[in-house]
Amino acid sequence: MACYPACSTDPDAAFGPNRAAATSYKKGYEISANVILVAEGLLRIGTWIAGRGAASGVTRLYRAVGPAEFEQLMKTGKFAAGPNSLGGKFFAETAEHAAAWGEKMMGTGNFRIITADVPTRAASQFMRWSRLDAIGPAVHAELEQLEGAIVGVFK
Amino acid sequence: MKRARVRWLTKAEGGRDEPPTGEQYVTVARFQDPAGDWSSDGWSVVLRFSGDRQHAEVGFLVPEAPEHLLRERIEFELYEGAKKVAEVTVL
Repeated sequence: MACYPACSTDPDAAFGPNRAAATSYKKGYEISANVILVAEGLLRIGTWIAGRGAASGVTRLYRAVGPAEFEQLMKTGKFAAGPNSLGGKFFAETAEHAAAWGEKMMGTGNFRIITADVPTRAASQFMRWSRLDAIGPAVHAELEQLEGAIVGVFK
Repeated sequence: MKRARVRWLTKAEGGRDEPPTGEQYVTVARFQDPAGDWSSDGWSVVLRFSGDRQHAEVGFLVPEAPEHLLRERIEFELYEGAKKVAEVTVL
């Protein structure tokens, strides 16, 4: 009986003339099957949501920029190639390291520190140096990889 | 700073659209140094142009860098991220 409807046992035959019992059994079986299907569906939705949550994390990066790039970023909110800039952008992983690069490249007081919040999934694709210039970790992102970045001002 | 010759890769070779236009250009260098791993211990170089883009004064961005790598006739590559953009020969 428990294998209905997969097995050949027919509740109508098993219950004999007691049709009410057979009907009740079939209804109970269908309800149980539907409950299991709904539970499986909920489990799949939960797994999907958990996966989305992990993938939607945000990584904050830091960059020292000169006055022209700072102005451009504040106007557009997007990274762009400047007249002498590279096809992508280098970032530090901490504000302190960004400031260290800013000091070396532009001199004290000649730069601002901006932040870029990028999806962790995208950031994991950036070229990364675990140590650059004896300062600290650095990453390089192509401009198209930064299209979804949210730009902010750190300092 | 050392005098160097710079060959910019063409766009067809995977390089930049055109050489940088400013007086100074900073990016990461990759040396043929068997003792070094450029992705775990990389160094930025500064190129200062005074005329054409095929010659520059070159030096490291930071004093902690291994200066011996910039010796005469040594060749190294410039990278923008994973993209090789130039080959440099110290003169």
